[in-house]
Amino acid sequence: MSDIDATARSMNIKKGFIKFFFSQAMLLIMIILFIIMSLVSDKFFTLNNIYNLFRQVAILGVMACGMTIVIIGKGIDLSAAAIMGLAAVANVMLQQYGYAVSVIVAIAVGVVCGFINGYFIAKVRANFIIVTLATQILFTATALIISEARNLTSRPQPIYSFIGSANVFGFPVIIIFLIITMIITGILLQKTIAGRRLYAVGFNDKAALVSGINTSNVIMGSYVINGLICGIAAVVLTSRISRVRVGQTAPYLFDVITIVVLGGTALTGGIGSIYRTAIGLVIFGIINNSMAILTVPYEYQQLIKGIILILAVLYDEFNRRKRLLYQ
Amino acid sequence: MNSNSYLLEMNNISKHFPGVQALDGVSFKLKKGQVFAIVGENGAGKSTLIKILSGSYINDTGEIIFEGKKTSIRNPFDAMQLGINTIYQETSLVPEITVAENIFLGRQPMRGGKLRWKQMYDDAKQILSDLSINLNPRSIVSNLSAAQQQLIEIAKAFSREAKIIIMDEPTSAITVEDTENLFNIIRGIVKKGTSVIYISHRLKEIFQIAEMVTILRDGKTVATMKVSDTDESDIVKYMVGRDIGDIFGEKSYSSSDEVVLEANNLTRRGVFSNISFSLRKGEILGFSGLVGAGRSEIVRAIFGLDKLDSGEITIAGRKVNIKNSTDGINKGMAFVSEDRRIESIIQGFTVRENITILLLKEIVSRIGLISTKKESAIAAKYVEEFSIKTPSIEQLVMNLSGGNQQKVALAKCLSTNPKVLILDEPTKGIDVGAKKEIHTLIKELAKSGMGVIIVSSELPEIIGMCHRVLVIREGKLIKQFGKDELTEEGLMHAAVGNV
Repeated sequence: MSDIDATARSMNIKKGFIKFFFSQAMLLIMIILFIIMSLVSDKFFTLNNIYNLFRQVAILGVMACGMTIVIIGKGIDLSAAAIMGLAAVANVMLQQYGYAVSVIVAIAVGVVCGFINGYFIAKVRANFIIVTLATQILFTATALIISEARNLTSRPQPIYSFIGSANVFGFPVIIIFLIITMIITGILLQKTIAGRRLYAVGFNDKAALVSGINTSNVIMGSYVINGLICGIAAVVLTSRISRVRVGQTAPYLFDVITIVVLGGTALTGGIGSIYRTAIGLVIFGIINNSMAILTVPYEYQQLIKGIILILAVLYDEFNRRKRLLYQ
Repeated sequence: MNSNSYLLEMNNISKHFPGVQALDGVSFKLKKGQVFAIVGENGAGKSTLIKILSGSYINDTGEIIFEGKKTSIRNPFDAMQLGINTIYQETSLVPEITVAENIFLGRQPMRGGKLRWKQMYDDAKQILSDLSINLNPRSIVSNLSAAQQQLIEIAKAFSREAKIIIMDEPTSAITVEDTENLFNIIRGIVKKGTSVIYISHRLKEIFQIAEMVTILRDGKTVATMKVSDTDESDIVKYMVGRDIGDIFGEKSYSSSDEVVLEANNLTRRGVFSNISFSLRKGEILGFSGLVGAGRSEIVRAIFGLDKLDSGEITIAGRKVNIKNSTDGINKGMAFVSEDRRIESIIQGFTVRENITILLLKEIVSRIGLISTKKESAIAAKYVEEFSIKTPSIEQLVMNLSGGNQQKVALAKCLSTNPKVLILDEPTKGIDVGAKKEIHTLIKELAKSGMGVIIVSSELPEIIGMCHRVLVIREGKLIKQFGKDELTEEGLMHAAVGNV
């Protein structure tokens, strides 16, 4: 009997290792990528390049926080980049009325867009992919109409580029901004009632309903918060790039979804975290930065990105089957 | 084959999983044309044994002798080749196509690359009539009842010339008459020489259908007997390893006349109509009737999960308007669904997160953040109080046994101190030991003054637990039984319409 116990214990330890390995697989990949790149190029592991790496993906990181929330609620927002585009146009056009007004309006535009998505998805119960596909065009068209398809230029005063370009004690503000966004959304998900309910609804909306959770309000909330975060991302965008053109923001969507899925937030809902998204972001950032350092041609960069998203989806599917096995 | 030889011999079968010895030297011998029952509590090893026979798992040690030859079953295909067919609780039929197409799925009669529809329907008709199954081979499967679908599975297995058909809890989702029909068909296939391995929680059925019974406990064979040489309490004793005595014990009736819940002319068009009843403090009220009679629908509407078209609900003397489940909870009700896996608990949440899901407002600190310390304390209290068997409160609920999952669901509901507790099939698919614990718990709750409603298809449970029983048939309240009038026959007659 003690023999069986001993085998059982050693099996348990082994299982524990395997479990740890898989649960932290992306962390390991991140570290391995980092080491490889440091060996491949002496330009990679320099303070300047590390700052650069994060500056390049900071806006994606902010947006990924919102997308993580939506995906945990078993949805997806294909209009996220379009919301940012519309909010950015509103932001730049209203800068003549002062910084505060331009920021508030950009965020308000994001919230309204999120509300529109949420209304059709949570209240009307229309399919989230089709709704956000439609609003993506709708928001982009609205941005084109109000900007008359012109290039818009951000005001030159330092306040308008503070978040995007300034340093505090030599540390880029944009990175601080990203970290704060991640901490706040992380707390929202892990430590608040709304966050706990979102996980419940995402994992099993029927059980959540029986537990007295107003599931449609929770889903509505997830899209509104994502809209808000896209509005904030728009402010960061205009602080980094002085010339805004509608359509410029479209490619962000692909990268944001890649980052979230790569981190291991499940497309089936209810599983995921900002921590995972942070790891997905760093992996993406390293690859993105490396391709620039190694001067990979644009078309090959796109090819590689496509492959990464496919791999990320395979990883998601692998995790799903592993969970079914445990059930 | 002489009378001493067996169709299948399982000798000393063992199977080990990390941390668990699922099977430990299990043996039994099956004859041709025999119904062989395997019983045991959840976790006794029944499913593992079935999975070894059907090729989903491979045994670590022991030998399988089939028709006198030592053999090994390495995958489901091997099992199929040997003629071992398994019918699981969830059917594996394709719902959108006909009965005949399902029976011949993957081996439809063909000629020159063309499907021979007529021959397929004729063959299917022949098989169905051979087994005296009264079904049209051209019916679409999704239009048929669970019981009828099960019969198609049997026909399908039989048409594959199955030598052994394994049935896993075949009666868990069907009515009493359907069970009788199923037994007749089983008797028919056994006469034709097919053997049946019959797995069930319902011991009564074993005595109706089986010739031999093997009892498993903790992965070991504890007894193999002729069914005619034993009785129900004997088997229960072997299953739990102790004499559990009268399963239900005393009914302690508190004589309180205070009404906690009153329903007046509740109607949901096309589902149920004019349902009126009252529930007193400390009372356990049963809802009996056939599956699909509208029992679950009534209690779901009272709790706010479905909409009522008309009617009034009064709780503790006050008229309430319940629009959704949030209202139901806020007005002092708690509901445990019959579908534990889907509705009662969140499988991907830990024991802690499940228990506190209704209490979130009470576990947040002043700045609105969830206090893990408060949360853990509450969860630990309930785990202790309900003796929930779990390695820790951080365990995912999906890793617990059915009985313990149900206790988590109960703990969650009771955390709000409800006045009315509604339980839909509270012990469905739960083993005998855990069942008794849950019954005791329900009685204690009633004793403490809660009004309890139990919807159950298990007549012994209804009779053993309830002070008063309402029988529902086709959405109408047919008859009320007081505690001294409760008999299985009486309830059954009312449920099927022979009042």
